[in-house]
Parts: sequence; C-alpha cells; structure tokens
Amino acid sequence: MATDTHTPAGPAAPDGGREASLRGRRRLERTAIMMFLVVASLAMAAPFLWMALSSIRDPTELAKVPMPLIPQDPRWENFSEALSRAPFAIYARNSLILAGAAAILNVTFASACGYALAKLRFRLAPAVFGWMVACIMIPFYATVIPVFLMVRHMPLFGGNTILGTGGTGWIDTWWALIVPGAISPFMVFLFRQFYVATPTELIEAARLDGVSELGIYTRIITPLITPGLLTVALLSFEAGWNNFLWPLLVTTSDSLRVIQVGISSFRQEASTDWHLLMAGTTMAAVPMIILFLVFQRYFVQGFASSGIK
Amino acid sequence: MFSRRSILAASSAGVLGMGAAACGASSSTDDTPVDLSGDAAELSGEITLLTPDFTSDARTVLDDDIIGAFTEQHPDVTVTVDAAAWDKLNEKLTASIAGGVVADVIMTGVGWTQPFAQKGLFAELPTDDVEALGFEESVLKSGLYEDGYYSIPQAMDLRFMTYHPELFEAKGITEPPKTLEELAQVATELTGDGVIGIDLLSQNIRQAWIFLLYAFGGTLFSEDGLTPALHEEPGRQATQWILDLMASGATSYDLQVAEGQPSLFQQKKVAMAITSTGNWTSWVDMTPELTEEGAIGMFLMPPGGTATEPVMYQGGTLISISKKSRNQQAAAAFAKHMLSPEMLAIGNAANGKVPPTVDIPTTPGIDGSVLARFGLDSLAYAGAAEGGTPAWMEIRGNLQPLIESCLTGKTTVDQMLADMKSLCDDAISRI
Amino acid sequence: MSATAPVSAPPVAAAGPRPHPGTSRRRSVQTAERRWGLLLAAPATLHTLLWIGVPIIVAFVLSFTAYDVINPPEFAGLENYATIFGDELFWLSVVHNVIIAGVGIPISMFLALLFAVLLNRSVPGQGIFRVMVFLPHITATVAVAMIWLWIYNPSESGLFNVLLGTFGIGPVPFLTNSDYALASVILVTIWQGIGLKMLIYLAALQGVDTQLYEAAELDGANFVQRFLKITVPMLKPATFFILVTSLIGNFQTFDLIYILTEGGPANSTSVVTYRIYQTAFQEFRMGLASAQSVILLLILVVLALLSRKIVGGTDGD
Repeated sequence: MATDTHTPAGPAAPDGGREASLRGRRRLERTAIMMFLVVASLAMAAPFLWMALSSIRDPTELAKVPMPLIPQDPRWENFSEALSRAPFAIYARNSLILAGAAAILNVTFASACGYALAKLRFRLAPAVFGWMVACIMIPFYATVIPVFLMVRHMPLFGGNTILGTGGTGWIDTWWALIVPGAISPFMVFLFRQFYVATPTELIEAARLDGVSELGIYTRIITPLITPGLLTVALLSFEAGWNNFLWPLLVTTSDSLRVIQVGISSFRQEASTDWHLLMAGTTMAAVPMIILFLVFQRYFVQGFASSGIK
Repeated sequence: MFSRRSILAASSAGVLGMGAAACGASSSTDDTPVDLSGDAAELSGEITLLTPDFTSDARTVLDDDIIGAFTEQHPDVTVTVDAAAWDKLNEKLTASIAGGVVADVIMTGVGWTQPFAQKGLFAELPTDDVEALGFEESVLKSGLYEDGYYSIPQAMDLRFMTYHPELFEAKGITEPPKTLEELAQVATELTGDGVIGIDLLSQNIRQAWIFLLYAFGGTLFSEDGLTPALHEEPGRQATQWILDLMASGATSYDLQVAEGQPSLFQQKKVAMAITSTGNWTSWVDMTPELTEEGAIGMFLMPPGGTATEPVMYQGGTLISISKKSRNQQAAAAFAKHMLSPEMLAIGNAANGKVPPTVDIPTTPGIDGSVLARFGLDSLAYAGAAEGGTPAWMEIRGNLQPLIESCLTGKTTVDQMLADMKSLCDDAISRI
Repeated sequence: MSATAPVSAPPVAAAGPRPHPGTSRRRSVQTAERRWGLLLAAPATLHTLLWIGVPIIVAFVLSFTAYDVINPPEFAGLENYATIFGDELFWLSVVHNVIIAGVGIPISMFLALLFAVLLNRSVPGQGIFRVMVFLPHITATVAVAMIWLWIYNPSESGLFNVLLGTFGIGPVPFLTNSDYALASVILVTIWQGIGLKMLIYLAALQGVDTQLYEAAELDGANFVQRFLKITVPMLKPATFFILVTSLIGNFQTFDLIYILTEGGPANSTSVVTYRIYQTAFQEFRMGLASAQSVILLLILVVLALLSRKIVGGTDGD
C-alpha cells in the first residue's frame, strides 16, 4: 500500500487534472477504508470489550437479563478482590518467567535453526526441515503422557537414581515448566519463512568480505528480519503466558502455579464468581496488550528495509 | 529421517521410560485394608491431597481450618494440596497415575469410584470403620464396589424440584404433584403467559435423564455393575415422558442460560425446575428474594410408572485413599479427620455443598440454606446417582449425545435405548 | 550466542598449481557453511527429537497396546486400528474438522490479509486497530468461550438474538440445535483466528518493496488492482505458511469447542482432538488414543502435501 497519505504524487505532475483525480480517489479510498476498519475492528474486539466492561460490574447486575451495556455501578474493588483470592503476585511472576524464558529461548535457538534451513546448504537440511514440519503436526494430547513420563523419570533429579526411578524427577520444578516446550518447531518454521525472504547476495558479499558464518547470521541477516524476531518473541511469550494445562499437570505446589490456573479457580463446580473471573481475565490480558501495542510500532513499512540499494 | 544411532537412543529411552512406568505402576501395592480407626498417634511424613473443590475463598478454609487442625494433632505430618479444576481432574489423575506420582488422598466425583477401585487405584476401606461414621446407606452406596467400600462421601450436591408457590396458586394448584403423570399435567397447566411449566434440561441433560430413570423405578446397571439396565422399560418411560412434555410445550430443549446469569427458575421464566443445593450461593448473590422462608416450594421427584417412592438425585465429592500411597496411615488419618462432624460442617459451608449427614454442629452457612435443609431431611431418598459400574468412565461421556439425538428428534426412543445398551455392553466387555 | 567466531580461511592463493584460483576458498566456504548449518540447527533439532520425537515413538508403540494407565500396557496388535476403522464417531469428527477448516480458514485468511494490508499504511489509530484485531488471540480461551456462550444464548436475551429480534427474526438456537451448531462454531473459529494470521501477514508485508506500489499507483491502478497484482503474489510464501499451520492448528485445538458445546448437541460439533482427549483422559484407553493420534498425524501429512499442491509451496520446499 502507499506509504504516506499526505505526499503529493512525486515530482510535480505535468497533468494537473490527473493529479487531482488521484487525490480525489485517494480520499474516497481512505474514508471507505476507515469506515471498514472501525466497524470490523469493533466486531473483533467487542467480546473483549464486553468482558472488560463486565469486570467492573456488580454481581447483581450480572443477574439482570438482559444485561445493561454500560456498568451502572462500577465496582473497581473487583480487581483487588480477584487479586486477593489467590496469590496472584506469585502466579504473575511465574507466568512472566515462563513466558519470558519461552520468548528468549525460541528467539535464540529457533532463529538459528530457521536461518540454517533457509540459507545454509548442508546435507541434513531437507531432513531437518521435514522433521520440523512433522513435529508441528503431532497432536498435543498424543505426547502429553509420554512427556510427563519423561519429566517424571529424569535421571538424577528430584530423588531419581541414574535409571530415573525412585523419585519425582522434574515434577514440580521449573525444569518441567520450561524445558519441554522451550523450542517450538512452529517458530523454527516461521523463522525459516522470514529468512527465506532475505537477500542471499548480502550473504555472498559478506563472505567475500571475510565475515564468518556466525557473524553473517548474527550481525547481517538477522537484523533484517526484526519484525520476524518480534513476531516470534510475542507469540512465544503469549503461548507461555496463556499456558494452562501443562503447568497444571506438572506442578502441585502453589509457588509454581501460573496465572491461568489462578483464574480458573474462580470457576467452581456450583457457581462462578463471574465478576471476578472477568476481572482476573482482563488483568491477565493487559500485559499482553501492552507488549503488543509497544512492539507493533516496529511493524511499520520500511523499518526492515532490505539493504540492497 | 532419523540416523540409526538416534533411533536406537530414542527407542531405548522410550523403553526405559515405559519400563520404569510399568515398574512404578506395580510396585508398593499393599493389599491390607487401610486403618481408618485413627489410633496411630505418632504419624509423620508427607501426604498430598488432590482436590477439585476448595477453590478461591474456600482454599483458605482448607489450609487454615481443616489442615491446620490436622497438623495441630499430628505436627510431624506435612499436607500438600494439589488443586485441580473439575474439568481438568481427568487429565491430572491420568498423568499422575501414569507417572506414578499419585496423591495420597484423592477426591473424586460420584460414579468414579467403581472404575478406579476395579483398576486398583483406590485402597479398600474397612467396612466397620465406614459404617461407624453413621452415614445413610443411600449416601454410602456410591462408594461401594464388590461389597467393599472404596470411597466415602465428603460433600454432597443434592437435587430435587423447586417451584414458585404464587404460580401454583394462580392456577389453583394447592399441593405438589405426587406422581410423574401429575407432574406432567401440572407442568402443562402452568405453561403460558410467558412462563414455561418445567425446566429439566438447562443444567446437565445426562444427569436429568438419569434422575428420571430412577424416578420411574429403574437403575443404570445391575447390582454387580456388569449388566446394563438403563435401556429397559423405566428408561423408555423416562424418555417418553420428557418427549411428551417437550411436545406439549411444557418444557423446551432450548432453555439455556449463559453462565453467570441467573437460572430460568430464578428469573421466574419457569414455574418448576430441577434445582441443586449448590445453586444456593448464586441465589444469595443474584436473587436474594428467593432465599427467604416460604419464597419457594420444594418437593422430591415423584415416582412414575410402577415405582412408589419419590427420589432425590445425589452428586458430590467422595474421598479415597490411594492404594499406592507411601504413607497410608497418615492419609487415612487425614481422611478420617476431614470426615469428622466439625470438618464436614466447615468444609461444606466453604464449598457451598451439603454434608453427607445431619450429625454436624450448627453451621450458619448450611442451616441458613433452605435448599440444604430440605436435602438433608430427605437423605434417605437419595437414590438417583450416576455410576454403578467399573466401566462408567467409558460410558458417561457418550451417553449425552445419545440422549440429545433422541430429544432433538434425530433418533427414536427405541433406537436410543438400543444404542445405549450396546454402548454399555461394549464398555463392560472390556473390563 | 558467543561474540567470538572462528574466521573462515583467508582467500590466499597458495603456491602450487591450482585448477581455479578460488577453489580452495570455495571449498572452505562450503565446509564452513556445512559446519555452521549443522551447528545452528543442532539445538532446535536435538531438543525436538528428544521432547517430541521420543514421545511420538512411545505413542506409536502404545498404539499397539491396550493401556489404561493404571496397569502396565498389554500388547493388542492391530486391534486399536481396527476399532478406529469402524468408529463412526471418529470419522464424523474428521469430517467436522475438514468442514471447519474448509470454510473457516479461507475466510479467516482473507480477512486477515485485508486487515494486514489496510493496517500496514499509517492510518490514524493504526496501533489501536491492530490491537483490537489481535485481542481475540490473546484472550484466554475460557473467557472467549464463555462470552460467546452469552452471545449465542438461544433465548431472546442472547446478544445475537437481541440483534435478530430487531429485525423480527425469532430467537435462533445457535448452539443447541444440531443443524446450526457447527456453523456457529465456525464463526467463532474465524473470529479467533484472524489475529494471528494478520500478525504474520503484517510481518511479511514489511518485505514488500513499496516502490512497486507507488509505480502502480502512478500508472492508475486502484486499491483492488494493486492488492491483487502485487500484494497477493508477493505474499505467497506467507500464505502457504499460514495455510499449513492453520490446517494443523485446526486439527489440534479443541478447548474452545469443548467449552462451547462439549462436542454436541448430539455430536454435531465433535472434532478429532476432542475424541482423542475423551478416549485418553475420560475413558482411560491410552492405547486407542495413541492409535487415533497416529491416524490424525497421517491425515495431517496428507493435508500438508495437498496444500503444497494448491498454493504451490515456497522455494526450496
């Protein structure tokens, strides 16, 4: 799409009429686009906005059918009440560590692999690529129990002998939370796509200049895919942040529980503390929203312009 | 794709892991029944409690009041709580069993006991000790397997019919129906002017159907749990009864409420409904006018067909001890502690549930609930419950779709019953 | 990554006859490339081989056993596969997945691309719009499902029914009618899936040369023409990626459906991963669940190959 909306068309057009019609068309386009964006984005965000609105509702208001759109009696204590019901500070810290580790590990190791698959020629490359794609296809529930078993029988941890028996291995430790999902084949695949689009000529040129392979990877090519890096970091962070089932399975002690587990505790068998659930979920979503708002600024055309010309 | 070496490494690791799992699964099986008499004063060690209840506010009650009281008596025992949500309890149990890290004290729902007892997960509890607790027979039934007790109810969720007296009066109905045929009539009479006669299906369809099955005098399975009985005449009558009500408009399949909003009964959109004692907390929060004395009426599900006794439905949480527990003595002592009258009162008040016995100290949270008091008074009638066979875990998930197909008119009643029978036969044959 | 790096061999023409002045350098570059290719790919490969490869082998082995988790596995030969072959519900679930994917993914991709393209230029409020589109993705599935349950409520008070009511259309049982449930679920999956696709498209769009657009605009091409002739072809690799991963993702997730409909009513929204979950964790038939997973894996491989045919893959695949 055209970059600036306020740039007159390049050098002064000899044909004034043509330029005017261009501007006119642009303005029409712009208005139509804005209208579409407003309506469509609202449709996308409406459920979340409704949830956020509900997070300050009084429980009796939730009982009203139909529920009024704007909360009539804003109850900001919902947030503090939700926080006090479970040790959310600890949960948030844990989620932060888990999500941060996922982001860092993925950006580091998945990018390395993605780059190698995209740009370096080595014999096992097709095999590794095929393997990565196959990995993505493996259903999570098929591997949950075996991975759990491996975590439990990790030799020499948690009281296990060298054969992995006798103790509890990595259960209820940070290892179990972080390691199994540390490098995601999806991210490798994604990185490869980003790297494929980078110009190989740059690599050749760098080699001629005597830059090492590692140097090319770290200093020359990877900076070109900054949007890609940010994408992977964001997605890995989000996956770690919203992870629910795996932490539930491998941890028992409260000090390792994560935020989603804490929020799920608002749903009891008999009744749901709806207002607290909404408050909790909204709060949990806020860090992700802020992160996204901050980083999407870098998804601006030309930020990662190729360095050919 | 794999090099030979990596395949070798991978498969040997896998075999090792599985071997270790297999070993872990069969070791430390102690066949001596658990000692519930709680004599041992010198208990020590660690035990873990796996529970889907006691979330949110109730967790503090569990930690401070219940566990706190226990550790006062047995200071050398550490109790760790592993909290898993009800809808994830399956995964949690499966993973921990597979990995051999099962909790010592396990809390599960009604219907889960027979399968786990048959598979050797739960330890048998001595009959004398269990009966010494003084609970009603109807309530202890869910914990029975092959004449032995493998779990004891700790919390109950009782269901019966509730109605709006003013709607009854408006149509000149003076007392609750005494048979299911009468109930159907009353429901039809009450339908109209924006009110639907009866709400059966907005909660759990499977459990509502089972409730009616028992009301018609049927059971899910035979005594030994090895033959299905749900497809027989009472099952047919129950299904037909619901279908007739739907046809007359007195009830509807489409009566649903979004979670967190008051039920249709609370909104006075239906005149009668199956209500659970657990609904009390949401009544207090959302429609407190219903919680006053005399605001609503209650009656047990009346009998139909050839049955003569009214029926109450019981759900709830039962407490068991893992057969592979490494500290069965401490586990047993803790279970016994949770089942003591004071702890039953405290625990159930915190969870919004009902204790399995009336012999508890006065507790405002429980005594203040009109629903709970009615349920407790009618404990002897709590005959309808899920489960009753070791194959239940394989059956329960597949029952609801069958019922739904029939209620939406996609299959006939006879087809549904035949499907149910073959589902159960199939599952039981694999025990 | 370490800061110091081995330097490749200097391009020195040593003494002695050489067929070509640059061969030794080329060879050493090749060796360095091979070495570094392996080195850089190693951590990710080894990690996945261990944490995904080993479990899938275990699962594969288990698929030939009857294993109820509590007692050791017993060999059962091909029995599980025979069971799957005759399991109507399993294949019905596969069909549902295919329908959800076949309808939902193209619509989702198209809308995502549209959003990405529109939000790639500096529009006022660009950041806010992007966040709004991405919100469904970052909201926890449980909350998403509950909100949609409220929207889809079959009585007159459900949000959609309130809207329809203003047009005089009676309350529609979106999720309680087995004819409508699947379509209702598809709508939710579309809504939830747009955000992630848009993000990937946005990132990919950064690599498209803007001068192409400017030239086209000067030539009189309008929005639609620029979109079809420039944007779409340049994004083919991203499109392929999104298609494959969406297909796979579609077959993997079931949390949303589980909370919305529990696979009902009357199994009309049952999907494969839910069947696997039920078999493994509710029925405790781990051997059968493993076999189902193997079958699912095979289906996905076929689908991935099909996508390659349709979209044309990317270079070097």
